[in-house]
Amino acid sequence: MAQEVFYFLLLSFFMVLFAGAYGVGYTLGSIKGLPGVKFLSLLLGGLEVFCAILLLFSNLLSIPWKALILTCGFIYFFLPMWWVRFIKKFPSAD
Amino acid sequence: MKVQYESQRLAIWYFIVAIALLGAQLLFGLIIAYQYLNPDFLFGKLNFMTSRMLHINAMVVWLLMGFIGGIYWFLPIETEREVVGIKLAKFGFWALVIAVTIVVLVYLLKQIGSADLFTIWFITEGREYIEAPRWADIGIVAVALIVAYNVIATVLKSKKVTGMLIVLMIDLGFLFGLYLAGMFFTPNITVDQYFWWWVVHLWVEATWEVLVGVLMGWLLMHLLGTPRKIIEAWLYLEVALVTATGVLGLGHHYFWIGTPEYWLGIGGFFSAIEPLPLVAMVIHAIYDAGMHKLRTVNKPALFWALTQALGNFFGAGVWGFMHTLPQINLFSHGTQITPAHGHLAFFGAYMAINLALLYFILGQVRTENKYILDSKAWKVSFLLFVFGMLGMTAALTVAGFAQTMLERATYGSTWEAYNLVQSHPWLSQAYKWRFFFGIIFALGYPFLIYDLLKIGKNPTLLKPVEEELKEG
Repeated sequence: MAQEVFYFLLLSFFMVLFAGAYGVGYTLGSIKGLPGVKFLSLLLGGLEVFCAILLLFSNLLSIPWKALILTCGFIYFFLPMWWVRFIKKFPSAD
Repeated sequence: MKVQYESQRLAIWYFIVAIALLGAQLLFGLIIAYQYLNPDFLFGKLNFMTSRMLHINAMVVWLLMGFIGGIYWFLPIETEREVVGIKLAKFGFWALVIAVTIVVLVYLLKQIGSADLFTIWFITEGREYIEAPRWADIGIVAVALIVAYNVIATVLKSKKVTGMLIVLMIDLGFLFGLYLAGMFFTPNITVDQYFWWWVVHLWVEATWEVLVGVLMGWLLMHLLGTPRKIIEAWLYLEVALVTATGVLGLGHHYFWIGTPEYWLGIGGFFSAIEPLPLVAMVIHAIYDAGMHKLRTVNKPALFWALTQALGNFFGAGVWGFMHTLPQINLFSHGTQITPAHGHLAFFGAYMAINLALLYFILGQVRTENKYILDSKAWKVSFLLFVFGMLGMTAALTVAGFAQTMLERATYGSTWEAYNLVQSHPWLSQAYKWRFFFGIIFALGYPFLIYDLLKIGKNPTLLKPVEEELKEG
């Protein structure tokens, strides 16, 4: 049980951590026009989804909770793309 | 811009008291961190429960005073007139300062009383985090009402109703209204906790977040020159997201207090999406800072504003999500993971914005935006604060993991398990590291005070804005 709890804590920690790091990297890559940074950030986004998928193997979660985690995993992946596009639609602050 | 309005002078007084209370928070924090290592330290004179109460109460009051200071600074700028009830505002300030002084003295000298109404009214209510006696509670509500009245009356008198002011007025209504929920006694502990969380959670994750959104909006408008229509559009969106996820995210506090089982689903669902607005805010902050290439007339204010977005995301988002689902919270509830989350989230979300506001005000008062406000001391204090906080959070997280895995998942949440795990190296060493990083964090305070007293006072040491613009 302790191991199960440990992996759950660790994976949920890294899931959101990667989501944030991906968001920062994707935003920087987009505004600075750095495809390398954008590509690296997408890898972090992939890791975020990977953590969400690994959480599906946890015996602590029933099926509705697994569906919630998977949905969140994908929302966190697509959020930076939607958000940056959304910000760009606003008139420039400069 | 020099101080133009009386209410802005009052704002500076609010910040002076706030920063003094930050010092008190750090002092009592260090005492309780050391009491984890040496429980006999000050035993019988200043017990752990008293220092902890002072550590947390000082934090709540200084953050609140900073927010009120921010409101009184920006309100006359926004409405282009003096605050209507300025005398009332000054009365509220001094009433709050005197009340806080008396409450602290009672906490220190009397500490506890018998289980009767006298104790509730004049010593402590005993509710964790909102221990202030009933008379002081009434004072806090009165001060919140004075602020709300001043904002509403000034807006109506000026006839300048902006989107940000509307959000602020609605938020201030909730700010004092929700506090009332923590002020009545009920013998049923479940009912008591149910409403207690309205103050503890909804204040922090709804009304304070919205208030910070408004203050941050004003700060970005004046610091980076972001147009009002953009700020207001973002404010509506982010307020909608924060309230949509944060209000019912309250459910994660209802898992184990005797409330119906459906709170597991509600709390779990909304808690899972609570990091969404925080990720969005980080993206927004990085986008804004990136577009301006970190160029600003006020470097400490900009860095603390950025720290607010990142710290809020890490503290509330990452550390919050990690232990928020009921399946894991069953094991992690009340372990050191909670203070790890609490320390980083409060530092990021609220301490950072208060310091950003204070530096912004200093820049306005001392350099009038003709020079780039900068110094070495703010960088040293910034690094000590950030490094100290990350260290404390890491140490508490390790301790919390050990408690969750051993005390809860392995040994089964008994008192025996609790005592056994307290002496486990993962905890005992983590407590030492927490104290060490607590000292690092506290060392940032004298540098902060030195900097606040000195920064911008000698413009010959600063770079003129024109020169910065020429350099591009």
